[in-house]
Amino acid sequence: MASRRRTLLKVIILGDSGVGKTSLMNQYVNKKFSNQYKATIGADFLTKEVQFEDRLFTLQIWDTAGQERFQSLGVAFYRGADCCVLVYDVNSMKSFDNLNNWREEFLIQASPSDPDNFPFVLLGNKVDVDGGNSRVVSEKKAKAWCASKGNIPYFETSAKDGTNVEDAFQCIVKNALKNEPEEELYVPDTVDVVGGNRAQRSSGCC
Amino acid sequence: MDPPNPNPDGDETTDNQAAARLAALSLRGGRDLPPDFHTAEIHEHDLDEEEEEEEEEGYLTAPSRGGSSTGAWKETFHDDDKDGDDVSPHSPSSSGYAGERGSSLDDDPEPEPEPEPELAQDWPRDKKHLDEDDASSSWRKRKKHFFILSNSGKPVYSRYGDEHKLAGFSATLQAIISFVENSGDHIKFVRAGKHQIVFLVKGPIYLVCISCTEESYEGLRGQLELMYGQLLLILTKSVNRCFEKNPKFDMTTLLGGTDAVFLSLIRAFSWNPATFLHAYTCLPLAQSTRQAASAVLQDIADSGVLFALLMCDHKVISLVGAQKATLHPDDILLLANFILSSESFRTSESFSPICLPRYNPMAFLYAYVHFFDEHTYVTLLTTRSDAFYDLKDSRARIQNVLLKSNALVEVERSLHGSALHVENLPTDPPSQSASQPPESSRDTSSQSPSEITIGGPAGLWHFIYKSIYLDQYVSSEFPSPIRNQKQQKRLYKAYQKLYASMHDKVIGPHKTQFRRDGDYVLFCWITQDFELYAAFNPLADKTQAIKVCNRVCQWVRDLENEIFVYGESALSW
Amino acid sequence: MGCSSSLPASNAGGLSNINNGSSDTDSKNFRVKLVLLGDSGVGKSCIVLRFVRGQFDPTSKVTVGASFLSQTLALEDSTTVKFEIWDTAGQERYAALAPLYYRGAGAAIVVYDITSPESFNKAQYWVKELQKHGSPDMTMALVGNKADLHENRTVSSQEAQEYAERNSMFFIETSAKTADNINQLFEEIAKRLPKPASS
Repeated sequence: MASRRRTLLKVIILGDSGVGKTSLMNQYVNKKFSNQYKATIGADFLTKEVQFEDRLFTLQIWDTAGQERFQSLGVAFYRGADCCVLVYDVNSMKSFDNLNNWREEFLIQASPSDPDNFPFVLLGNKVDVDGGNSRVVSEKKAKAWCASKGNIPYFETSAKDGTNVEDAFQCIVKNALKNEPEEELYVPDTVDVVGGNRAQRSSGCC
Repeated sequence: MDPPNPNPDGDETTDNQAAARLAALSLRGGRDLPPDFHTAEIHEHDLDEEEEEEEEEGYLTAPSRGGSSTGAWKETFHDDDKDGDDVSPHSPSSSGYAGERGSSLDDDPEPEPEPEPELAQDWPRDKKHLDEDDASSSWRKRKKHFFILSNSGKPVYSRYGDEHKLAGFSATLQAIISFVENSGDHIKFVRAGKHQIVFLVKGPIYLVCISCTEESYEGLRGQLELMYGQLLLILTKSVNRCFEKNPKFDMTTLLGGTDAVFLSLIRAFSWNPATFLHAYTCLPLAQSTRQAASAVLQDIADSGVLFALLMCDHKVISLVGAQKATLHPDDILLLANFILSSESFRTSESFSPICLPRYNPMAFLYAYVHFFDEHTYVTLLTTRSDAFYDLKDSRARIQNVLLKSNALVEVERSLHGSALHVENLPTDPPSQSASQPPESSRDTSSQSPSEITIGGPAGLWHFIYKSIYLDQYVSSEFPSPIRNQKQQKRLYKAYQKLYASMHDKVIGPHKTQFRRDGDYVLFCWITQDFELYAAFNPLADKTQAIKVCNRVCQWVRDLENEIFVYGESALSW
Repeated sequence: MGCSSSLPASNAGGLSNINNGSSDTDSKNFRVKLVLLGDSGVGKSCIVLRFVRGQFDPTSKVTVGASFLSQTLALEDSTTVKFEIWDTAGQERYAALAPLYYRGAGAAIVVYDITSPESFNKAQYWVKELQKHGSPDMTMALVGNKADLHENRTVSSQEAQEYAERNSMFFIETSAKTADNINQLFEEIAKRLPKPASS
């Protein structure tokens, strides 16, 4: 019998508009979806079930509306995220340069308990475009950026042909797991007046 | 669409006219009216515009109620309406009418399209439709959804479908809430076509109801409050600390195995008046029997038990509290729901941590629960974690007394028959018989026997009487016109609407309301002491109905020692 | 349960004479508090109900808090042992309150489901917990339940056996469904209970 308990992971996808976030999600979730909510509430939402090392995970993917101009989505939006996926377009230097902003925005808003070890994943998308001839951000440059931010895993993807998309999400699960807190006991309060109430009782104790 | 209001009269009735009519009425049958009724303001509401057809929960597209039989019924209604709002006693001339209506309702050909016959015996897991998610058309057609989610958007509970499959949907709900919060505001509800989405934010826990049942915002919000209370009963507010420590916290594991509890509560919203009256109901019992039970419970409460409750299903047989400890009716409702929906309590005696959200939402108490038989059980609540063996002894004492006083047999008997039947409503209130004025012989019930063939006098079908002082209510049994569950649910929905409009903070509160639609004539009367909700057949005459309501109140007062918990237990609070 | 006026010897962590030795036959009649612990859904209640009532109900009924049942077992040496059984809920929300039920227990049955490795992990958690906070002379049994589902087995009996030995527990696989080894489980516990020296 497979694991009875499933783990839910909240995954936030961030990056400039036009880098192909939605196409990546479509490729991954294998389900076409419309940008129903992006314009009004800032994101669209997808559910994907993943198996990883005998465990079952449900990814709750927040595909945000990437703005040309930096726009805060607010604290509540990022609250409780388990992983943040940053996406840029290897053919757009600006989308790469903005990664710092997106990462900062996330860390400020989500304020994770251990920001240095919060699981990010970087995706360099659209590697298929023009046979790679229009590429302006080199893999080396991207990897250097990842190294400088605490070894963020990096994948070069193509939402068009699906290159690396599956691997990237497996890595997301793995990373989120690494950061999983120890399961803590639920310690509820009790009104326990053993001792305090003794005097009132008719039958003595001990 | 609904037919135009078949009964336009009464709508134009001004308060003055109503008062005048009332004055006339009180002249004729003054003794029937309690003093406070004279001063009561009569508010009439034109609520006929509202949709009469309340579809049952289940599929939205299910063939709606009211096929040919209801059509025929309305026809009759129209014809009859020619009489208008004549104040003279109303007696339907067509003697066949009652039978006709009765039969048309009895073999109501209405197909039962519900994929889920709402029966208590159903195994809850079958009801959840785990294969569904927000992409399924069946899921989208469900009439009333309940969701619990965390403030990070992680799903905690869904009435229908698998919570994890609804992760995206749950995120959407959170995003909507947080989007409004970002602008420094709070979202209360959204109306979208026939649907109403009601939000309730309780710290890190969000509760959402999506319904197209046409229930009021206040009503649905009250239901969400009870859902939250049920959650606290299971977990206490300590759960908030988990979110403070870890915003990623996934609450689902903590609620393991409690689906049946929430499902049972959601069902209660459509059949249990306690969910909107915020009062509890008692099992009718001879005063001496209840006193015997109360005495032993009181004795036990005095020896260090916080609350001792003896209940039969959802009805209270007796309850006592330690000094100064009061038990809120909502806590009784949630506690009974928890116990009755968790099978394990029936297997053997148990000792479990339970939180009473209205008493103290912060901490667990310990509940000793024991079923004496299939329906009757005792719950002893204590603050002492080491009290089990003492409580076990206490239970033995209670059992002894109940056996000696034959109480369990009487409970069983009451369960199967000593409830209030509107047919038994006395024509001559005994307490007034001494100086009965001759006018009272004008009672319609004695004049037109055809009218009492179904239900009570003046076409009375059902009533609920809530004593405000006691926080208790009593309701009559359902007579044949509302025999099946679906019809009963519809009536409760009508009562809920009535309750909501009576307690509306903007246009209310009101003292009386008389409302006629295709299904019933509904009458509500609220005084300082009580709230009365009564349903009459749709042809009922208003004047007669009001008279009958007076008699109901008197009847309830005459029976109060049997239908309410009184006495030393109440005094000790 | 700590101490209680109605159960004088409940804090002894072992057997107690039912009537505190008021007559000499009582040196042969003992009672012991026994607690069942384990993940939710492993069949703790089913084991207890099979032992106490000889019943098996395949519909799973989630235990709330803890249920109390008792059953007296007659042994071959003509002694009787009355088990006062705390069947605890496996749900996480009650885990921190478990001491309420195992405190003062003379015996513990830690149950897992042979088809669920997770439940075996949880069993090990409970063993550790009992070793840390339970009575030192507690008799402990490790039980692999649902033995009837052996074709779906994921926890080998050898692994469990070895774990039990390392922790001085005795190990048995049971099926509450077929009643296999249920009585044997309780008989074995009764035999292993440290008998108080007869007066």
